[in-house]
Amino acid sequence: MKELLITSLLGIAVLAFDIVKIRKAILPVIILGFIATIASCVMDWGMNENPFNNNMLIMDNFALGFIAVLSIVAMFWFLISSDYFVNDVSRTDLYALVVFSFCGAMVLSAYSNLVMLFIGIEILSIPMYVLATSNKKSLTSNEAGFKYFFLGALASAILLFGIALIYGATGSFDMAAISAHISDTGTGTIMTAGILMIMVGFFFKVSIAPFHMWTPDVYQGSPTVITALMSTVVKGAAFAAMFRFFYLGFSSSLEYTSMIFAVTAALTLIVSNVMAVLQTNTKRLLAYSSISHAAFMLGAVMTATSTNPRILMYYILVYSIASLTSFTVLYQVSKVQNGAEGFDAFKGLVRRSPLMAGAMTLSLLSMAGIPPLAGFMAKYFVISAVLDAGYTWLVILMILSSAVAVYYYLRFIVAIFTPIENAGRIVLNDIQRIVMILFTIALVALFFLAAFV
Amino acid sequence: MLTLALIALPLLMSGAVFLLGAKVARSTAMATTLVMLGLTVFGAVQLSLGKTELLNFNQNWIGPLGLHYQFTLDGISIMLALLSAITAPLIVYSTISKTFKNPHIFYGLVLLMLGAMNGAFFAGDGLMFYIFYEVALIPIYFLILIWGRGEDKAKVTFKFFIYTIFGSLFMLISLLYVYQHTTPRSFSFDALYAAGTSLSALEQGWVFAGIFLAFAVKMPIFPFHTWQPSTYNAAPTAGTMLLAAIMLKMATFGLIRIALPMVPAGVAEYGDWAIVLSVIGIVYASMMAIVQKNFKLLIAYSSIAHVGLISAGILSGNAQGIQGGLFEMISHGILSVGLFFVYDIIESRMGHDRINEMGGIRAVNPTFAFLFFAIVMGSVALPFTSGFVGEFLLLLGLYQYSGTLALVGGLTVILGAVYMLRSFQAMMLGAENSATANFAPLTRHETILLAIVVILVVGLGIYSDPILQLSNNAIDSLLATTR
Repeated sequence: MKELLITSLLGIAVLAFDIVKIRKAILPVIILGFIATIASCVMDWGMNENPFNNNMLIMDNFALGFIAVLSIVAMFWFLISSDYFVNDVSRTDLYALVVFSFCGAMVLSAYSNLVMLFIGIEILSIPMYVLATSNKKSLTSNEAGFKYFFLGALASAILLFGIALIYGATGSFDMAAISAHISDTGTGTIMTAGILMIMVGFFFKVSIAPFHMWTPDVYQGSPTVITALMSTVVKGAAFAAMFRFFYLGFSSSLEYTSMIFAVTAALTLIVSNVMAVLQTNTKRLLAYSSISHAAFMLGAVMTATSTNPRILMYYILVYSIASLTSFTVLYQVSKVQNGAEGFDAFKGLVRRSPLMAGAMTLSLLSMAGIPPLAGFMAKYFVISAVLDAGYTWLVILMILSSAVAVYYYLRFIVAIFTPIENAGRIVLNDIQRIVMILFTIALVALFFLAAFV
Repeated sequence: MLTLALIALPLLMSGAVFLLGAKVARSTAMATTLVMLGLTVFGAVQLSLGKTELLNFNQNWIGPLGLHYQFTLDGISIMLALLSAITAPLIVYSTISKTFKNPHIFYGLVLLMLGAMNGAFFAGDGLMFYIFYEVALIPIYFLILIWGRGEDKAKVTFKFFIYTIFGSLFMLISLLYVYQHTTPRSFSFDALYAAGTSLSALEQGWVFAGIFLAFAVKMPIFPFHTWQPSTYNAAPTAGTMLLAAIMLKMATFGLIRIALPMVPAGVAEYGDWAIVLSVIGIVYASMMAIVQKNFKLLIAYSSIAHVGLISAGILSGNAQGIQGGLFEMISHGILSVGLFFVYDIIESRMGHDRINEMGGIRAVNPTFAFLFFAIVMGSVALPFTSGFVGEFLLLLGLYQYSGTLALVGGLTVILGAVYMLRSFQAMMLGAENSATANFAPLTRHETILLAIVVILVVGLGIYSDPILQLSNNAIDSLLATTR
């Protein structure tokens, strides 16, 4: 429980800092808070702490692992986007919102009661609605927040409906009790309807086709650093929750839901990759790329009974590094070019900032799944799990869609290495530079460290 | 350990070259390739003495998934190792008079590519092979994109990259399919061979189709060749040499290492189309070469023709075909370096490579003409050149498979003579014109490099037995497993 307490207190502390006017200390304190969280995850590893408050949350290794991975991602998000909030009058509020949202992510990694699942999703989402609109003067940002809120609320409602149906069928919110009930009496019609509705709710949150329509609009409209957060921490937490749902309580239902997973994953791969090829706006393109990665993560979820959750953790970590890098670079290049987000904005990046050009190139190649970058191993683990589950056709589709993905990732690389006249340099601050270098090393190092997954 | 060193050394040195900076880049790269040559020769000696303990390396990478860091130097991979070890110093040496922007990155990428290609040649594990096969693509992509020439180089490299990735992903599908049938799960070639041969012939045929598609794009085989001439043309000469001399050999090597032993029934019963495509490619590319007006494009098309013959010979699946394929890989690699260097000499002096606008260079520069002619003779497979040994064995192998195809494939020798001699005649003989009259004499390093190539071509042609001996046993045991 320490982890959740630390982060909650951190959020309150950040708010309090505004009152006492020591804004400069905010970022270091947040980073320390996240380091404390990660350290506490490491210390609690394998301890199997007592369940909290009647099995509401269980800090098992699954939870600790995901919390640690998401903390690392969130911490680096704070570091790499450190120049975004500097001039915002309400930056303490925004910082606090991100931290509170992260508490939701922790609840989602550790829930063992369907009520906590719902609460976790709400804690995660509601600050994100606000953050999506945080660029108050921009119409698109407002539109993004508005869309995100309405569709997110709808998804939450469907999810809640599903939870209610499961409660109706079993008389319990507790995952262990529900699991026992299923193994005693099997799943009836009401239960099945409940599971399906919960799946729809999840699909909305992680943007799986055909429930992905909001993603490009919201990702494009939101401030870029917030988009980076959505595509990493928020998506990762929602996937952790989905995995936990089937891993802890509903593994037997995978027998009939895995086909649904396979079909939606296939649909997602086709839709996202075809749409991505057509995009001219790079931010929107990255949104579609994020959707296609969701299909791979779904592949890990659909094999939740037979595979190790570490596959999903690894995928989330690797994808998050690449995604944070690419969104940050996009933010930096469009900032100095009046918000341009076409491929032209990346032209000559190799001259303007060799570090960003290199980091971006490696991230894109990693997302495309080209060895020796970690993205290849991440995809390989999922593919090998799906293959074991017997979905050869889905594997072929995954591999072919990777080939399509190479096409659109390569368009960035071509632009980056296209020389331009009188290119001004783009300067990152020291923290960002160090994080970029760390990310670049990590993308290669994680490939070789895949043996520990 | 030796195999590991041959992979790790260039990879580590590429990092060193990146960091050491522009001044020492070329000399470091040169030294590294020479050390690799020494190590490879040492390996060849070890192999011929039958001492294999240094040549095998096996370490678990991801145990449960059956992935290994497994590298072996056997009678087959030694041929490719020799090829890469001989041509790499020549390629680096060929750039000695050139000035590149950011030379440390240029030579770093070259070394990176050499390491990756050695990795593919030594891999004893299917996924390792795939990984290195892909890794080699990244440096050459940037070599062409950054140091290439022409307005459309971005477009050309784009096509090249997509094409190759798309092809090799089919190989991944095939490998995964066979991997699924291994017990316990393992990607090591021995396990893959066992699993692959136990599949039904039809399944093997499909697996072969996936693998061949990947290699057909890389080699390239008609009709998957469309990326090749434009890419060769856009690449800096050293990049073209890397592509033609070494990189495409990963594919022909893959046919021997993966396709033949893993899915022998698939090749034998459902592989006819692949051989027919290869033979069509020979004739088609030779015809295309005849009508080319630019010398570099002519060499590019001639490369398609030669590779088509290698592919057809190997796929005919007998000892002569495989033996000839391996020998021709070395021969073609050395000749490619020579021919593209000849192109480079001409281009740097004339400013273009349009065949019909030259003539009479022999009168101005007889040394160059002589060395060029010797290389041309190797390329048209004149007896006592390395090209003859390789092509003769290949045609012999193909003949055992089908006399008709061998007859058609044999056209490569005749048509090759047509386009090579015609272009030689047009550029070198006849009366000089105002442009060629001032054709500058060869510099010392140009003479040395061409002389080395000529010596190798003639030397291998006359004294080919030691090289053939190296691979004999390995080919016999390979054929024994496929029956």
